[in-house]
Amino acid sequence: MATPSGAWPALASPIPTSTDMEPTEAIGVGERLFATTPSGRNYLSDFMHSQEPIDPDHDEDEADLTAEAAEDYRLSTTHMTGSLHELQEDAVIKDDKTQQEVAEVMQRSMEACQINPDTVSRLSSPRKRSSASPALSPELDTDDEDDDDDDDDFEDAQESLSPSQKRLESQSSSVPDPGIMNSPTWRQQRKHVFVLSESGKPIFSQHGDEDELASLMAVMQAMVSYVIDMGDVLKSMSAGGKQIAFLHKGPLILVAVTQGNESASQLAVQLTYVYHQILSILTLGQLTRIFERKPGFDLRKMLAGSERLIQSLVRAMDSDPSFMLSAVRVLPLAQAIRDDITKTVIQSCQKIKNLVFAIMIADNKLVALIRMKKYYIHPADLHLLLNLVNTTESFKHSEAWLPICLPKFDPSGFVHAHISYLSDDCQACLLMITAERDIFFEVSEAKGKIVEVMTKNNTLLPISESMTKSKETPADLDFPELRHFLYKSRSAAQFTSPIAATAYQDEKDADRLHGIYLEMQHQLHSPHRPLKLIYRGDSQENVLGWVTQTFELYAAFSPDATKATAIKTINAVLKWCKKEETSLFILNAPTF
Amino acid sequence: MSPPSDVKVVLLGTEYCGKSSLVERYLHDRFRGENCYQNTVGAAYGSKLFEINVNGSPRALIMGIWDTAGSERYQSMSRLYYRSARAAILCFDITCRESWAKVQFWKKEVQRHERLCRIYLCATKMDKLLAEDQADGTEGHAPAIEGAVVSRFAQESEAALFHTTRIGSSPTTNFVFHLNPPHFTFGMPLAARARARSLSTESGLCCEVVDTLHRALPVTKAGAHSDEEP
Repeated sequence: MATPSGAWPALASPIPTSTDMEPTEAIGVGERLFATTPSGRNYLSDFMHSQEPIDPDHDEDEADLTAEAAEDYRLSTTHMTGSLHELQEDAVIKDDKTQQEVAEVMQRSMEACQINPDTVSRLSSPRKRSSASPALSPELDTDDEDDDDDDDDFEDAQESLSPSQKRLESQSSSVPDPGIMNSPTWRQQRKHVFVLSESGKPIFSQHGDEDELASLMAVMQAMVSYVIDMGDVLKSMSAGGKQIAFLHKGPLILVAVTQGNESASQLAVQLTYVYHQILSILTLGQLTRIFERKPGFDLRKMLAGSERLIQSLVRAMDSDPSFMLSAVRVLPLAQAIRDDITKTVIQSCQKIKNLVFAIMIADNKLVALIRMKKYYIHPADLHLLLNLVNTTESFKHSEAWLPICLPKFDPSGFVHAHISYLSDDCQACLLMITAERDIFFEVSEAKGKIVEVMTKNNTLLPISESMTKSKETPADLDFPELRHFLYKSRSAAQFTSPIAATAYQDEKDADRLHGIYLEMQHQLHSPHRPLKLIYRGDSQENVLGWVTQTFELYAAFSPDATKATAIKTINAVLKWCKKEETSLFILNAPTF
Repeated sequence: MSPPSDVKVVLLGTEYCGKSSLVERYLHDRFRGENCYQNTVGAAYGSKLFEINVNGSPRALIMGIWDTAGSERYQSMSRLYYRSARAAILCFDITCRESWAKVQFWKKEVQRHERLCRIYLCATKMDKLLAEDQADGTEGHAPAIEGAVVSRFAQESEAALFHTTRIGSSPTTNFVFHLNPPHFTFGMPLAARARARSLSTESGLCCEVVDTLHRALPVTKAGAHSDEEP
């Protein structure tokens, strides 16, 4: 299928057709941070001892692929201009031959998942009625030069709509609204995350009832499988001012649609998190088995009750920078106290067999982490555990013993976690993770001992104190010029940030800042043109982003701050971080 | 798991039938309300110390309660929690037919694997049957399972049957459900009992069954029954 050699700006990241690169490798910056060390060693302790290795060849490879991919762009017809609803029809533009093919595949896929084409055409109808020009004028990535050409192509394509396409449209004019997808609130959501099975069955939708979105998900499934048929992988699109990312993992298809600042690779990282969240509930083995046995299985049955975990994860990713930075926050504690806590845990757990990790968390921050020799916990797994603790109220009242899968540790099996809070006065949560499922009482006893010793050594109080103290703003830290900052120690995969100044107390403002951070993170880690230092200003704030071998820093100032002030303040922040290093970060990696 | 507790009690039943609320009420005497519903992940463990009378001399016992997750995906793991349990409380929501079906499943499961385990049946959310208890003024639900069926099943499986409810809809009022130490009797306070009786004539449910959990413990059988519920 020959295609015009012009680049396809509508697709944010090209789909490599060459076999040189595994599809998963282009997953994005965050993932790359995790996956840079050789297999099996890419865990937290690596971060604790080594710099993040950066593969010098990687970027070049990717650039080559870009060129190659542009040549062989068989998805050239997907010049996306509307929202997802329009994808189906938009996929059917350009030359007749391709268009016919797409239409056929769509038809086939729809038949396969028992969707009446009418339903899908109904999806397209809203735009037909309100086809305001912005929806049609492609909003394109500025990276590419051939915008004009593309516009022409698009016009051509409009004219060459096939009869079958027209048939769909004529049918669509008489059918009623498709319900939720037409509701303005649903359409205006900043972000959507969908999960569906390979056969197109809805599993999860961030907004709205999945059942009502069945036809939309069928379209997503059709698109993914169409590209598979071409021997390719659909990764992302940009359309109608939206970024759409696809992730096809095992028997699941995950789709994210955003109007925000996330880049396609950042969305892919987020989707990987959602996928891991599902694995942590079911394990890869169980997930695969279910769909091998029954490809049409309704996975919601198995996830019942756990939707809240996915929901809260998706919500957290919209505001919590830990996912973007692939790092965890640490509860600031004097090193002597942290060491004492660590020692207490190690001594109390000596007799427990196969205890892999002991993790203490307070206020969504790491207090202590002890691991078994040879085993490492990946920040991605840690985020899932944090999410579980954050969303489960009952851990506060009783000891829990539950099977959980840590996908980066072992995607195919469960480990068992003992989860409980230390005491009513100290809201720190202790997770002890073991490979043995029958040793609840031993672990529970060890927990009792830990609390006893910590009470005796007076190490519970400092945790509570630090939890109250961590409500500090930059001004409290003596940086009045600063509104907010993020400092990540790259070797430790940990970061620190104060709570934002009053300028960002409002959710809308906080969202805007987070959006700027996301954008900057993408620019700093872009595989094509990574930047080292960014200073950007507008009427609302000046923001600086800076990445070096050892740290990654983002700082927000008021719009009238001068560059000189910014630089002076940043240097002071760096000095402060260095000085407080031992309390802000966990720099050793204690083992049992 | 070799328990340091003396009596292992396990709660089984479908999700959202009130197992955690039951335990919460028993251990901490509080009720967080339906709006706070959160499914249990895996299982939660709670324990309570109580004293019983063995041949005239008091003896302290620890009761370990396993509140299991009702979600289907944890079913394969539930063996872990009911292994060597002395009492299994099979809960079902009186307004939910599926939850009743599950009780039969659990009964078979427990009887097959744990011969020493006594079975207790617990019909929850009885207040939903009473029109005057509905916060929104709606009619009470119809019971999803006939009382006669439940009683027959209880007899066949030699299981004591209990009904739990919540009086009124304000969260400050008490649950009728009580497991009172030292005898942690499953039963109802008198006032509620009267209401429940009137309820039972309508729905045909038997509300009079009162039993003590520690029947599960052979040692305590002799002394424990002396001060039964009225």
